[in-house]
Parts: sequence; C-alpha cells; structure tokens
Amino acid sequence: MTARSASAFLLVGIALFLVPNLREWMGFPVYILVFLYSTFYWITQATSWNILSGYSGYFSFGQSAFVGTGLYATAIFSAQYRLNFFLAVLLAGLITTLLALAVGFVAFRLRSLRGEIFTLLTFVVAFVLAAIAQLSSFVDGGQGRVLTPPRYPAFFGSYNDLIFRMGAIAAVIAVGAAYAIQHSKLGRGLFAIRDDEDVAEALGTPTFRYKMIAFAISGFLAGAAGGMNSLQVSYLTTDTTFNFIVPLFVILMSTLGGRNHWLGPVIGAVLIYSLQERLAGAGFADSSQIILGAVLALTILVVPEGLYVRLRAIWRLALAVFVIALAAQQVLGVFDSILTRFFVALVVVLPFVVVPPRRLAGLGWFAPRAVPPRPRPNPAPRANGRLDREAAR
Amino acid sequence: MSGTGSGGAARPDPSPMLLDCRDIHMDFSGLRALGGVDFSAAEGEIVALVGPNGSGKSTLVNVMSGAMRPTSGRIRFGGVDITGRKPHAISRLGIARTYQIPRPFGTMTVLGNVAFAASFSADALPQREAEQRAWECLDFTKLAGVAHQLPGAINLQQRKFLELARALAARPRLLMLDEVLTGLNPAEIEDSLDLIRRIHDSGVTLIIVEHLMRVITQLASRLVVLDRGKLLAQGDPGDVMGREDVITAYLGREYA
Amino acid sequence: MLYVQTFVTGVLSAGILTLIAVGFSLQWRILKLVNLAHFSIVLLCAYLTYDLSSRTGIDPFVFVPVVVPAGALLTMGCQWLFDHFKVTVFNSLLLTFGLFIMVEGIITDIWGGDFLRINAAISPYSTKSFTVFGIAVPLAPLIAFAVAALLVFGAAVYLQRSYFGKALRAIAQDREIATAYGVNYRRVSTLLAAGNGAAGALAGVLVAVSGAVYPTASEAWIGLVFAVVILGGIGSPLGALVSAVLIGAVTGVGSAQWGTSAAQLIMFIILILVLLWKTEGLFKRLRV
Repeated sequence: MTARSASAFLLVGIALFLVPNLREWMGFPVYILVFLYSTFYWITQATSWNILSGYSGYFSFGQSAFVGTGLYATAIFSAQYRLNFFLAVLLAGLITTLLALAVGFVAFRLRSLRGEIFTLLTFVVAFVLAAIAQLSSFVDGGQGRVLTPPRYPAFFGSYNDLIFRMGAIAAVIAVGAAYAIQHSKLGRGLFAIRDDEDVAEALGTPTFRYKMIAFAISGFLAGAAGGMNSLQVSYLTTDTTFNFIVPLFVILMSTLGGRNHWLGPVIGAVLIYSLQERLAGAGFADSSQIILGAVLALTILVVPEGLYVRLRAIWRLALAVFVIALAAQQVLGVFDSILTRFFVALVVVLPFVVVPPRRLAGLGWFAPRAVPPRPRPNPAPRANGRLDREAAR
Repeated sequence: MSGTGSGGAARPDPSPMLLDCRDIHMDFSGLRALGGVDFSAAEGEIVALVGPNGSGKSTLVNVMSGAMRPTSGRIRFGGVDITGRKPHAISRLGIARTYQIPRPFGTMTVLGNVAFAASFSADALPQREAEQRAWECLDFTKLAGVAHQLPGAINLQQRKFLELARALAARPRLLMLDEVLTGLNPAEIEDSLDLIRRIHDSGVTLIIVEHLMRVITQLASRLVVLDRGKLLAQGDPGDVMGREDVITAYLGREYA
Repeated sequence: MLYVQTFVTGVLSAGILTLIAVGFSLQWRILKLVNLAHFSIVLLCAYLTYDLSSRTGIDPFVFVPVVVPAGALLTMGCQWLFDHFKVTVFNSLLLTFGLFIMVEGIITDIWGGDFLRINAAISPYSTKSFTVFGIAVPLAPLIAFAVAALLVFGAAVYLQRSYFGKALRAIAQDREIATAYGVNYRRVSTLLAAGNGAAGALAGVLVAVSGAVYPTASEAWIGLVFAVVILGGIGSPLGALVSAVLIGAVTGVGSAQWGTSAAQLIMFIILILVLLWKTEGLFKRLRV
C-alpha cells in the first residue's frame, strides 16, 4: 500500500470516528448509527471472506465458524475472566487465525479437488465446532451464555457511539487490508491461483503459503469482528452463532458486489444489509432467508461477475440517478424515513446497472466507458529485438 | 542457428549437464508411465523429446518441472538435487515450461500475464520493472500489439506465443516446450520456428516435445525417443530416425 | 451386548446415507458439479411423503410412484439450470447453496419448524423391529439398507456394462473429447440427474418412514455424506456403501457411548485423517 492510499484510509477512519460528535449538528437520529454499525459489521465480514475466497477462488462456507468462535472466545475472556474487552477481541482474533491455519493445513495440501473439498470441509468445521460448544460446559454446554456490556474508555462516548466507532474501525481496517492485499504481490498471486493454480505454482508462486496467509488474515478479521459484535448480543446460543446466515450473507454480499475487487464486498454489503433491514422493517423477516437465497442463485446465473465491474463503467449515470431519486423523494415528500429513501434510491439505480451496457451507449457523458489501460511507460521499440540477459541485469 | 548447441550430444563426460535425470520411475496407482528413464540436457542444447502418444513424454516434462513427484529416481539441475521440490522452487532455479494447450490467466491481460511471471521469478521484480520486462518479452514475441487484450480475445498462435513470452519473462536457463507447434498452420509454424531459434540464440537451453519430424531435424541437436515409458534411442537426429526400431515404434505407428 | 446392538443399528443407518451419497458423489465426479440442492430435494421428498401419507392416512410406501418421479424431475430441473447457464464447479457450489438456503426457508414456511412424524397407525415401520439372537433389528432402517445395497450393486453392474456407463466414464475423463466422439452430453447429464434424483427421492421416503422430519435435517446430512463420499472415493457407489457402513458403525457405537455430539466429532476426525493421508479415498478400486 502506498503512503497516499494508507493516509486516505486513515483519513476516512478519523472522519468516521468523528461522525457521532457531529450527529446532532448533522441532525440524524441515533438509530442511523446502529444501522451504520451493522452495515460496517457486514462490510468487515464480507471483506474478510473475500480476501481468501474472492481473491483466490477457494470458497469457504465456514465463516460462521470464525464468527461463532470469536463471539464465544470474547464472551469467555471478557465476561468470565474480566479481561479488557479490546484485548479479548484481539485474542479471539488470534484463536480464529489458528483455526484458519489448521483448516488450511488440511485442505490446501491436497493435489486434486482442493477447491471443492475445502468448501465442504469449512462447512463441516462450523457444524463440528457447534457440536463441541454444545458438549463443553466451559464454552456453552447447551445452556447458552449471557453477555454483559463491557467497560470501555470514556472518549468512545455513549454506548451507541461506541458500537458505531468500533464498527467503523473494524471496517476501515478490513477494507484497508483488502485494498493493500489486492495491490500487492500477495494479491496478484491469489488472483493467479484463482485463474489457474498449477500454472501460478509453475511460474514461481508459493501457492500453499499464499493461501495460508490469506486464510489467516481472513480468519483474524472474521473472528475479531465476530468478537466485536458481542457488543450487540446479549445472549449467545450455538444455534444463533454457528448457523448458515453468516456464510449466506458474506457469500451473497461478495458475489453480488463482485469478488475480484476490494470494493465488491463493500457494495454488496451495503445493498444486502439494506435489503435485509427493509425486509425486516416491512415485516418480512421470516421470508428473508428465502429471498436472500433466491437473490444469491439469481446473481450467479445473471451477473456472475458482480456489480462492481458494471458500476465502474456507469458510475456517472448511477450517481446521477441516485441523487435524482433521493431529490425526487424529498420534493414529493414520500417515505419520511432516511433509510427507506436511501433504499428506494438504490433500487431505482439497480436496473441501470443490470441492463447490458450497449443499451446505454447513447447517453453521451453518462454512457458506460471502459477504464483505459496504463500506457507503455518507456516506448523503446525494439521490434524483433533480442532478449539481452546480461544487459538487463 | 548459433553453434552453441551442437557440442552437447557428443560430449562424453556427463558432469557438465545442466539437467540430469537418473532412473526416473513414475507409477499412477498401478499404471506405469515411466519405467527407469535416464535423460539429460547440456547447457546450450536443443533436445527433442519424441515418442508416440502415451509414451510418457508429458509425464517426464511434468516430473522435471516438479508438477509431479517421481515414484523413484533423482533429478539434478545445475548440480543441485531438485527431486521432490515444489514447482515454484524449481521454477525459481531457472526451469520454465509451456503447456500443450495454452493456459493463460484468463482474467489478466496479455501484458499482465507476462508481468506476473517476471515478478514471481527469482528476480522478483517490482510491478513497474516487471511490466517493463514484460514489454520487452512482448516485443520479442511480437505480441506488443495485443498487450492490453484478454487472452480469450487473441488467436491460438498468439496464445502459444503468450505461453513463450510468459516463460521467457522469468529469464530461464532451461525452457521446456510441450508441443508448441501443434494446431498451427504452415505459415504460423515458420514464424514459431524463427521465434524458437531466437530464444535459443539468446542463451536458453531447450527441451522440445514435438510430433513434426521436419521441425525436429531442423532444430534439434539431439533426439531422445521414448516408448512405453522407456528410453528407446537417443543421439543425432539423422542417425536415430534411421533406426529400424524407432521407425516401427514411432514413425511406423504414426505414418504406416 | 450393548455394543453389538449399537453396532447393528449404526450399520443399518448406512442405508439412507448411501442412497443420498451415491447421487451426490456421481454428479461431483462425472459432471463436475457439487450439488448441495441434492440434500434439499431429499428433504423435500421426505416432507412430501409425510404430507401425502398423513393427509390420506395411507401407507407411505404407496406414494413411492409419486415421490420418486417428483425427485427425479426436480433434480433434472437443477441440471437444466447448470447446463443452460454453463455453471462452473465453483459457481455450482454457490448457486446450490442459495437454493439450499431457499428451500430450507420454504419448508419452514409451509410445514413449520417442528419435528413431524407420520402417525404410527399409518406407518408402523418406524416402531417395529424383530429380534435375532437377542439383538433388536429395527424394520425401517433394514428396508433402507436393503434398498441401498440393491441399488448400489445394480448401479455398479449397470454402469460397468452399459453404453450409458461408458459414456459417463468418458465424460468424467474429458468432456470435450467425449462429446467430440459423439456422446450427447445434455442427454447423459439429464439421465444421470434423473437417476440421482430418483435415488435421493427414495432416501427421502425412507427418511419420512423411519423417523421425524424437520427443516434443518439436511444440514446434518451434508457433513455425513461428505465424509462418506471422501472416505469411499468420489464417484464410487460401492465405496459409498462400504464407507457409509463404516461411518454408521463408528458413529453408532460412539453416540451410544458418548452422545450424538461426540459421534459428530468422531465422524469429523475420521474425515480429517482421510484427507491428510488418503485423499483419493479408501476404496478407489471400486470406482465406476
């Protein structure tokens, strides 16, 4: 990561940290903070998943194994041993890092069917961890665990300010990590593994090590963020932690947004969490599982490459439509909740994103355009030239 | 063709061999693909590896590049024992290969593919220098015009050249070409032969797996014939191809 | 005696497991698809059997001619999706995961989240058993085991001898070359899907007959079937039967000793050991 992008992420982090101070001045209600916290939480989880599964193509169904382990570990360290909450979250992250390394050690060494076996294995791991938690009275013992809010330094503000700020920190760290990895050698290696692992290895990529590193980072982020989410949970059970909702959400978010880019999971998380939240708000919480499952299946069939690529080509148009949709709702005075207006505007933009780009060709400045490739740096054409081994060294 | 390649076959002393395989066995769950093959290549040689389908050529290439671990036997490269090392470690010692069916990274541009190889080679070039070298390799293989295309958008010959450019970007000492000419038309074959010669002239030792006899006699300084996992014959291409047993085993089945 | 009893019960539980595993395994090896929707279809068929039998008050086995075609059709529908949209193996995992989650939600919507059981007066199989040398042999799992064994041996012989079996092997080796030599991929994949769906539907009927159905039952099968398929070798019906018997016996005895959660753990440890040391499964020779 260059110094410039690092400072950009730092600035975004600081700006987000200050949002609660400016909340009353900006005039939005407290529940927006809570909504944004959850969005940040899901951005973190989806990004964590994408760092391994999106970049390298090894799909994990075991995100809940990390989230659940992180939650239980934080609960045990923080509530039972009275450890500092932030330390407990970090320890939880370390434990899930080790878990990731153990699973990776088994699956990544295989010579054939690595991908499929990895996926099914992660699926089973979550299941077995739930069984262990059920068995062990130290962890859960089938009784569940009651959580108490932790103590925290005063500068984090009220409890709602705290969770917002924690979520923002987690999301900035996770997205920053995803950005840094994508623009590093590790990221290029992971992309090559996704395209053709054997060739990547034959060209000098230490594929096993790269996958282990990516999985470890992914596991740390998932476990630490899971532990952080104990701020929002008052009662833990194995059913509500080691379930399919977490993997469904992160897979859907990353896939819908686009798995090849660090922004994909962010876009997907914003879309899907808003959808889920509005569904719950409209009383469809029970059906959300069916709807989200269907959205995942449709995404794979209709836009398997995700929305990011399309959004990048038409971002001018998408932004314009979004602003117009928001303004129109303001002028017409429909949907008084900010969240609903935001969501409606997203829904209005969606058709323009999904429509084939050539249909939008006549829109002039707003028309889809491809990003131009980086030009040749130093055009020294030596067509038909020789490869001078010594000269280049 | 430069004269560096001609001396290798005649040299009696095996020690200056760049690559040296001894008694390679390879079994696939009961099926014997290689049964005790000795194979070597000296610095600057062009060794042609031929044999009918299923004779074990591709298996031998896979074993030498580390993609498969031999059941038994030793492989030395530049004096170092590389048996059982991982492919990425072997590639960093200076062995590169191409694939019979080109296998470019589908989501990277042509330039990206080549730059990737440069940055993951032993030189570990940073991105900018890797792209610089990639441009040189693309000039060399006449692919600079399609540098920003995705591999799916270029034709078969260009994809085969891309395989070569990508292998060259790592600046290998030894390059194994697995049927680079298969599926090309006569004009494209001439182009490719020219390119292969230029690669050899730049100082790369070559092992070529090939079916076209015309090509072998034009290029190779030494010919090695495999049949059913065993070494059948080796030596000067003209001599070996005149041998009775080679004709029945290989040419006989192909052309009779 | 307790050991022998739990051993027998465990071994017999292999029947249903095998019936689910065979289709999943063949589809994975031959069509290069990991079809999680297979588990949903088995569960749907179990619910369908429960529903029809409970509504009409007729013996559940009477509905086999309805449920089996339904399972076959559903699986063929999935296969059509895979073929029509040219879904890759990794996308098939994500796609069918979406379907899996969706069906779980739909089942909960229609039938609720409770355990449902066909009334014993209509379906006496789940409670009936007979005694051999002092060992109780439960009837329903015994039927399931017999059906599974018949099907597996039948399939093994058929696939070894028939043109269809040859076509399957050719596709498993190299799909492009197989189609170039005249194998009609769409027809073969559809037929295989029909067979897989039918076997899965039979498993569904037997699930409903031998015990309770509930919406998350399919989640537990995935782990077990995965272990069975890996242990037996992907694409091997006979291997699936043998490893299902092994896993059934071990988890049967284990769960009697230490409880069902511990049995899960044992299954998992076996799976990890196989993955670490014997990736191609224990019974590679039995592959189709």
